[in-house]
Amino acid sequence: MKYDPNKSFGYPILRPLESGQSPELADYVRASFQPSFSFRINEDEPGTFQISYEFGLSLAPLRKLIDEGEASFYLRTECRATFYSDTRQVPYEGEFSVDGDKLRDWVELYGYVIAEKDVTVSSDQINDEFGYQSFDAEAGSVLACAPPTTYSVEKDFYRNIRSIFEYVESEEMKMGETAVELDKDYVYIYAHPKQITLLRNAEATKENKLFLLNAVFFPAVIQMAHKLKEEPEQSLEQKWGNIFTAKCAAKNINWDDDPMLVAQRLLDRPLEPLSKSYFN
Amino acid sequence: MEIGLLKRGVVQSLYDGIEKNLDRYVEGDFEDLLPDEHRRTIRGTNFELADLSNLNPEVGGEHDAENSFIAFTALKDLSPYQARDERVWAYFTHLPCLEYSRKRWLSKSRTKERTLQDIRSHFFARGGHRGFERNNAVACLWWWGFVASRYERASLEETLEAFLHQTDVRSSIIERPTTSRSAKVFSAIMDALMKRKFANPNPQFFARRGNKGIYREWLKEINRHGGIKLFDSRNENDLTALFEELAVSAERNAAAQ
Repeated sequence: MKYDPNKSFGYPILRPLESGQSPELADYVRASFQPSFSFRINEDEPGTFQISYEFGLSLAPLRKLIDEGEASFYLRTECRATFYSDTRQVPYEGEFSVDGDKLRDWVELYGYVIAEKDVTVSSDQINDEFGYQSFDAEAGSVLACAPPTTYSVEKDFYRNIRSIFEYVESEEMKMGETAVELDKDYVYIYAHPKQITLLRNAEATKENKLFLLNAVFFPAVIQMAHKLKEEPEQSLEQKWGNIFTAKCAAKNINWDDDPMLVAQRLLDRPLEPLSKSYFN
Repeated sequence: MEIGLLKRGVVQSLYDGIEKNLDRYVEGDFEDLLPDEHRRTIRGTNFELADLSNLNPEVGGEHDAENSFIAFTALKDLSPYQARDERVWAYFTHLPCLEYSRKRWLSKSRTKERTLQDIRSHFFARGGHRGFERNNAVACLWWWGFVASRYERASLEETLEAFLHQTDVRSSIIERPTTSRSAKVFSAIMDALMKRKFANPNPQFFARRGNKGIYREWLKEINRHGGIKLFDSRNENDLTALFEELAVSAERNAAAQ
């Protein structure tokens, strides 16, 4: 069931107000349904995600139906990429975990109040436009719903930023040249095949890695920061954009700042270890 | 052997070099172009190369079912997370399943442009969900098997036969989030399809008439009911009974026309 703020159910539905929507036009006046979620990696059990939830419900008649077992909160977790779907009846608040191997890309969390049996809902907060203050709903009917909360679920968030770069061979590149492509999920660094062999071999020593960081990855990260600043919407459609911003958030870096500074901070000031080792 | 994958940069090089490698796709191979250093394996997985050798490149729903069974059971160690990775499927279409992918999707009678397009579509997994669920020559087989494997009231072979024998039934179900994501809802759908395929065969139910068909009207009704009710909050017996009632009603309406 997709959330549609304008969908008519044929009876009153408690939904959060849309931005700009007049409270007078809501199905219930002065009432709200506000599920709140958090989604994070489970630190005690890496490889699983922890989902916490809490339902805010201010409409007394619906609260009463829930307390009497005639309606329940439901939480639905969906991942389109992996066909994962889990719907569970839940209390007002709680948490549970999900196996990370079942999730990829994006996860959506939906909150509902559902009638457990045929019920009668009576409320003087039903909008006058309905012309009644009481209605019947069959078992399984949605009584309250909210737009989904979406989380990016990408294992690369928790890996080194280096994991989002890939070398791609290109005969058109000259030795000593590299080019970066940022229109895909990962960041492709194009170079001549012989150059790539040299770069891969260079990764074997710590000293060489310092040079690679400064000569290959630092300029690439500047370009990424620049692209994000100039075209944030397009960049955030790509996996690298989400990983980049998550890494920045983890280091308290504002990714919208000067691209050169963002890149230096994200890579922990790569000039510093180079200076210590070679310029002192 | 462990299930393999190609390095990401290698997949991109292959994609950029389709035209340069056209002969390899049409009648050669990639063994020398994809040496071990271009590959990786997925730890903790295992598959037998021979199990994939029976993939049948002939076109048709019955072969889709047979092939899906072969691919899903041979690669059962893959998790859904791993199966959503283009690097895995590019490995299979360029190495172990190259012959199958070529015979199934490439034809010498097609123009060069069409062949290049077919390679982009069926040897890689791009363009969102469809890249995996419909286009890549091997990934789609695995994903159909994965979706079908969640039905536990029949063997996987029988489930795949009912699910895949008519392409439009398959795509109507798999592309509708209401019907394919939830195992409970999918099982109730399959109960009605299995009944009409095996227990009480009704080929008319599956027949496509232009843009119509009894199954289409039935799925539309299920969608309509799912618009105001949360199917997953109901028990399986109630759902099976509701979907059966809607199927009978769609059959009755078709007979009356």
